[in-house]
Amino acid sequence: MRLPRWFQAPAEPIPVRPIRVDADTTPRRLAARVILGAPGYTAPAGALAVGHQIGEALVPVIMGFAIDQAVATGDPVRLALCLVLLAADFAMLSYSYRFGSRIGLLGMEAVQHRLRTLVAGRLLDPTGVAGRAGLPGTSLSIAATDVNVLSRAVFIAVFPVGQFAGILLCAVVLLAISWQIGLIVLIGVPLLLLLMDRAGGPLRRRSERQSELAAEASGKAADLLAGYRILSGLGAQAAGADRYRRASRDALDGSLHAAGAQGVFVGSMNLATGLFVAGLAVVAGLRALDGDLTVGQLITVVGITQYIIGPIGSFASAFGPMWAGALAAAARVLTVLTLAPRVENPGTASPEPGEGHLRLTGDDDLHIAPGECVGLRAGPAEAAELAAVLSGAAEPRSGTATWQGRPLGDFDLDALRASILVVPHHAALFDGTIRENVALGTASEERTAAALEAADCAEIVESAPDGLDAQVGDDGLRLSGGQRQRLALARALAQHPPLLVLHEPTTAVDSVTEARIAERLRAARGPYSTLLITDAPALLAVCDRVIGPDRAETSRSDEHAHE
Amino acid sequence: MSDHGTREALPLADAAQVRAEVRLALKGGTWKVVGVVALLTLGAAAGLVTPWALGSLVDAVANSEGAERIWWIAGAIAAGSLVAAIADGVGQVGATRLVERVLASTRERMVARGLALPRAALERAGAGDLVSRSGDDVNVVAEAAPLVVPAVAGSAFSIAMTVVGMAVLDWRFAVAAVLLVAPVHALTLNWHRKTAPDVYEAERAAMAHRAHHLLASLRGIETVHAFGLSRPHGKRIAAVSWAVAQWSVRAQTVVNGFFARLNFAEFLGMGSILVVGFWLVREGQGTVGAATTAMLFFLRLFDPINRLMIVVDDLQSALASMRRIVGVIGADRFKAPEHTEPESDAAAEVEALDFAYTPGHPVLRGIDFRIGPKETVALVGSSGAGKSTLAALIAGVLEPDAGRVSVAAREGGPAVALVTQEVHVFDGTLRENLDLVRPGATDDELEAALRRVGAESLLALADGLDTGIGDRGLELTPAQAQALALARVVLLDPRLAVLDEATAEAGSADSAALDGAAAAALEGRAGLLVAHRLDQAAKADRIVVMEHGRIVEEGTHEGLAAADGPYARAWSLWTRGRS
Repeated sequence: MRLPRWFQAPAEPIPVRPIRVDADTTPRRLAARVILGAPGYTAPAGALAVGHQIGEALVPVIMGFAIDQAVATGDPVRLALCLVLLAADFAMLSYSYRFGSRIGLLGMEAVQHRLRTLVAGRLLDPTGVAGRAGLPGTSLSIAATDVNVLSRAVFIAVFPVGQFAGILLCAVVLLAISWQIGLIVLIGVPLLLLLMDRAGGPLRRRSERQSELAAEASGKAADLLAGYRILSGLGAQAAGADRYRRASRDALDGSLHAAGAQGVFVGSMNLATGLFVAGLAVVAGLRALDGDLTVGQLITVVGITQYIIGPIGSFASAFGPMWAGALAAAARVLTVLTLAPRVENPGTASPEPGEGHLRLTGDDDLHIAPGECVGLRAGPAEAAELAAVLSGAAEPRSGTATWQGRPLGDFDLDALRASILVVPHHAALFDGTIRENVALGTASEERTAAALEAADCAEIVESAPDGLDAQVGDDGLRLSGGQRQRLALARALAQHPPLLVLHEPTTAVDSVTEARIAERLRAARGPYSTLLITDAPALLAVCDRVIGPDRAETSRSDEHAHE
Repeated sequence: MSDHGTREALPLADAAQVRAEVRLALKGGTWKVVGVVALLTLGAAAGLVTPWALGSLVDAVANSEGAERIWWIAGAIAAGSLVAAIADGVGQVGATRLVERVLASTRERMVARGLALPRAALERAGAGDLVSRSGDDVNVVAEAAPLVVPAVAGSAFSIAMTVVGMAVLDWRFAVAAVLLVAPVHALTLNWHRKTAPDVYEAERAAMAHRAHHLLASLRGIETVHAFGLSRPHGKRIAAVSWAVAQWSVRAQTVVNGFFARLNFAEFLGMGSILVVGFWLVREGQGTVGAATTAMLFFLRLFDPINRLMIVVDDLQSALASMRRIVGVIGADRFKAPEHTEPESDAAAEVEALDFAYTPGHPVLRGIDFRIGPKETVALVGSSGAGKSTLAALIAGVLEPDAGRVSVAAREGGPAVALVTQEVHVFDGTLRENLDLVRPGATDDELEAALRRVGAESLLALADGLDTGIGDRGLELTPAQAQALALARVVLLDPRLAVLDEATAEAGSADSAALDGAAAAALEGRAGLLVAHRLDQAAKADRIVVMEHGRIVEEGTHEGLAAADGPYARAWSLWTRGRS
């Protein structure tokens, strides 16, 4: 028979209150907010941790009592009673820990999930990131490792609370036995904690540096692995490994420094604790000699003194590094959470469903009517700028940009991008099946099939092991460059946006396939408009009009007139 | 998580492989290991002074031995603490340093081996697998190792010393404690060994999924934004993130079960010492002070026993990670296709070559093909015909299923270089990006290579070769990035250069310049050019046309264009609209 497992994580994330982050948030404040992030969990967990530590503290008390009352008297009934008392105490401390630690973990996981969602949300946010984000590997390390370390700060509201309660109980018992001894504990313990905070300073700084270097090394590994194909093509894997070795050695140096600081910290804390116990032994022993303490009370004092080393030590070795680690992690998490957005104050309006007029005035004068297919021959810089303007990521340098008669800046970014789809030239595929990549979970079966047909993907689906359900691999790496480009095109067509902006969509396909795609493109777009930024004659040939680099316009009817 | 259907994770190492790896990393450091163990042992022994002294204190008071004795006892505690603090502190630093070195050498070997993995294996497993092993798993070991080593060295000795101490007090204390407690511990360890590894492994695998999804979304951020995928991708990341949380709570449940059993053992030990002490005192065979010392000894055992048992837990968890790390090191290395010299003076020769990524779905069938000593061959054909696969096979990054690929060797240098349209600019300086292929190349050589491919814009960068480029540095244009890739070929100076769409990404303005760069990169050596832009192919010495994994036409541009084959059709489509 198995007992049910209590307090397991539910299928859905546990909701916790939002963690506020703004420009003024310091790492210290963020860490504090994290600690208080799940009071519904940390409060009961902290209470149970107190129960656990009190149970632990009572063990020497009960044992001292038993030696005094049962062993010294030889009364079997008292012995039996003491054993029952001991059993009850162990049951309390064991179950308090069992459920307290788990409830605390649930709270920590809830906060961690919230924090990670926040970090991932910021990294993926439609408003983008001004300037350039760091290495994907570094962001990954922040979203995975640093969020984890920071979230563990939640435990500060659980275990140290229990340890503190244990120390407090000991002080109370000691005060009851002798006020002098009680005072020594009540003054000595805070002094020890202060010392601990001071000694933790260098450790904090080194652990910050260490985690930076470690993140640097794992960023390096991710960067090299991303360029794996290039290294293998040039036989330069060994040189790449060498690069990583250097980053790893730097990280190692950081770890070794931090280890030294850790050693000094642990050693000095152990020494301070030992000296404290020695002092307490002198006072208690002298008072017992004077007859102020009974032997039973001395045993209790001695037992408690020995017990108290545990929580003070844990407090010293766990709380300090925990807080130091949390601060270092909080600083790094904040670098992501406070990234300036590329688009400030995006609008909230949604475009009307269906077609619209696009009007750009100023230097980049451009006008696209519903249903039109316009070709644009533009250099890379001009194309990138236009793409940024049309996707709402940048203001036009001069003039205005309107869609359906409203400035692009009025619209909510996701809503605008659903209406005007600007496909990046380097369109990424995501791990998953061909179907998932093309339909994106939104396009209908028919729409997907039609888009695949228009982008000439029949050959890909036929030759794939599982047809539409074949995996494309990371970034579509199981497919050839031409296959990836065609699937990316099919994905854009399947979305069927009122205005589709394609940037050189056929650079990786051969001329026969390109001609086939050009032929089908118009029909696939139906009543909606298309802007083709390309130099490919086959694509330009199907456009209603073509705007040249000099903004000179040729329309299809003109060309026919020349023939 | 349906998207991992055919994902094939990289292998896991077994315990023996992990041990062998650690031994290898510790090689030459035997005396350091001995020193660390000695220091930690000394620390543990000095730590026993405190309970022994406190026990003596009880007896000193019971026997009214006087104040001087008490000062001596306190002095002993202080001296013991000093020795323990120094020995333990230095020992822990030493242990951490040893462990960090082992970890560093292991992760370096892992990344080196990861980069040398067969391309097919790496791509089947997904980049996230390797990245998570070099990130998450390395962290798990880094956190666990400094706990494990001192705990094993220190606690084991503390326990042994304490049991001896108890036996010296009265052998019956030791027997009672050991007989009742040891079996519970043995059963607990056994239970843990059966329950924990699966849970930890599942937790690690969930972490790898999380890394994978995060990385994929970050790398494809432009696409995520364009298609409004921020929310679905955020949801997907949230789902895998919560899956990690679920496994973590499950793992904590195992830890809780473990500690509950240890608490039970503690109760048994305490109870038995009480009963034995009671009996000894009643029979007149022991003193109350001895019972107190036995109780203090046992109370003091809680901590080292727990520490030892906890590290069993950390050890399991670290071992799960080590198995994933060492698994990469132990993975099948890429077997470069057996090197055979071409029979003729050809730069490369391919005979009866078959290849499939997935068994039953052949990509290449019966390819026979040859590249002359300084000949440039263009490979054309419809997308998906197998051109890139053939190029990769000739470049030696894929292994043929059947048939033979032979590439002429070059004395003192590489035979072949492959450049594809995938440009990745490494995070670092321009120099670091170039000298990857020839470590130690002089600045003059690097600049000459850049000049040769006409990359004047790169030479003109503000900090020259020290300009930071890549993800955190200056963003290069696609044309600059491709020129950089071609400059690497010039530096590498292989006998055969395979350019797979190496200039496809350039816009029309840059294409002429890049075609020139490609021609410069091919100068003086044999070349294989996969090209969609047929004007580039037309300039090659010979053109090979592929369809559906076979070679269907071969000849010079003039010959093929005049014939009535697939090339002539493609050429007429290509030239339409271009003049």
